Amino acid sequence: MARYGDNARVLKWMLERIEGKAAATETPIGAVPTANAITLDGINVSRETMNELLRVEPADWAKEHADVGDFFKKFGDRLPEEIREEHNRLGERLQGIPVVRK
Amino acid sequence: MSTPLEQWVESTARITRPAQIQWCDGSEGEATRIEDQLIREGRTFPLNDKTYPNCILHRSDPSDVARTEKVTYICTRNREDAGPTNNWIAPAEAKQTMGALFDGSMKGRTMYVVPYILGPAASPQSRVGVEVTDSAYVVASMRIMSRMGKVALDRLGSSSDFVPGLHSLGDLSPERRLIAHFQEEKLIWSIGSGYGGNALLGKKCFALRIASWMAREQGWMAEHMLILGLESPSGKVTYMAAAFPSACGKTNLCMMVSALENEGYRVWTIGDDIAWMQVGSDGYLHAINPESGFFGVAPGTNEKTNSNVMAAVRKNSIFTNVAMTAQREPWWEGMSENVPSGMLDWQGRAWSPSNGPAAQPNSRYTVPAVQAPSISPRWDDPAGVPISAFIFGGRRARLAPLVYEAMNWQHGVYVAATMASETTAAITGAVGVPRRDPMAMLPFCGYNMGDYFRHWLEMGKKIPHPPKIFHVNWFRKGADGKFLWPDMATTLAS
Repeated sequence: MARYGDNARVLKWMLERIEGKAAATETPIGAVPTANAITLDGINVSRETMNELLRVEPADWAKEHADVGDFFKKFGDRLPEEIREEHNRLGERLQGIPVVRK
Repeated sequence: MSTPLEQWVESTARITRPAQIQWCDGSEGEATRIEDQLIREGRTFPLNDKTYPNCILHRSDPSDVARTEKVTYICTRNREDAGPTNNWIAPAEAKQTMGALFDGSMKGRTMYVVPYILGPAASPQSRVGVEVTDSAYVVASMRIMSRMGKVALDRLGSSSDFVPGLHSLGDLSPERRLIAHFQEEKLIWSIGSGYGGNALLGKKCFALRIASWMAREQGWMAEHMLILGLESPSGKVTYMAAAFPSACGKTNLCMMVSALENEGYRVWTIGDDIAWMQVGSDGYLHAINPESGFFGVAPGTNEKTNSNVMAAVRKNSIFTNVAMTAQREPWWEGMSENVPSGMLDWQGRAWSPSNGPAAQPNSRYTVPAVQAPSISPRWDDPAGVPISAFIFGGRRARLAPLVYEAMNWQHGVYVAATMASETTAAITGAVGVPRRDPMAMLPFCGYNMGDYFRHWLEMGKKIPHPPKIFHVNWFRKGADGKFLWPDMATTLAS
């Protein structure tokens, strides 16, 4: 039975990222841990479950992207340009369009 | 020659007309007298002397059990400055409506003047507030949640550098309940509720809504974040701040007993709700906890979910709207497997399952931070702690992976601005509607949220060593509708 404090395993990966020691896989939404990057000793989580936990499904995110677009409407022109820019870039990444960063 | 503070107190007394005014010094003797007063008023009860020394149970009015966002207003001069996520009334109109409610509202009562400091007493990042209130419960709670009394008056001296807050219980009627923030004046008025964030004006009203306005003006950050330190085997502690919407486990995360403690990874607690952060001379954002206590949701709290809080609340604590056992100990749903017999429920009735839960679902403990075994040695450090990571998160049954890292600050601000939590679905397997709660600040941002995103972007340019930004989701479910990440299997959803 896993204990409550297993979220520390995730914090440990973050710490390793801060120290430049941990590996990550790039996805359209950001960097996720590689398959073995999160310490699973002493925890009842299979490889399969971990893959499921780390999966990024572009189709699901495309739906989310549309929902976020709706949410932004209420801010009108008080929404900073840079936020709009990130939103558009995410949209392009989800469609598999390589984005050239300035 | 009276000070600005004395003048303001006098002006509030002219409106509310209390029978007497009592300036609070925060001393133990005063705390005992306040407790005696509370017990005399009939809604507060001492708990078991031996097993819960110096602890009391308070029962609020049944219509007054939670913060009321519908009647909370950001009264900027211009409506657009409050923005699309806040309730707004023109300041003059709010003052007129509330002025009528405050008129004579303290007749026959004592007005307590509660000076307090948010943050370590000696920190340049800390700020002084003064609340006038007719609630002894507020006085007792503020003493735990902030550095209250003489220490605050000493820091203030005769200056006008304090955030005033006028509070009165009024008649506790929900129709005459209003909480207003006059941002340009940095002034809080609250009437008609004795509960938590409505009445303890230092918490949400000052530490978030007023402070976020001040922070934008003055170039710092006031956020709805826990602060924790993660110690690694080398002994070095790396500090992180995390923002989650309500019911996503901030208190349990910052106080967790790490599963990797034997390997040398240990979690230290600085704060569970609010972080005030400024760029330090080392180029890092330095965070302080403006509060000095934890005001946490009791139901669901037990040895497994939060052993540190369970240890902390055994003395000098206030319990609000929990149940009381025949041994005069507090009890709430999820505390233990077996339900003690002979309990009084949160409304003081002999408990019966047909009356609903024994403890009100939003019932609370109020406990001094210093009593948590996990409290960091740096929790009261005037210099604050340097933040290396921001963590955002929410409940997503399908969408978000366990954890991901933003590409850079600007992308991180987008990730934080779009965080969402699904409402818990009644049917297993059905996914709830995502409710957006940017930076978990939706109920607490003291100005136009678009401008608040702009402030985040600007801060990024000012921090030489900005925190990395991550997003977590502890709540992903498999096709069978069960949580994939084991921690959630042992957590009771609240």
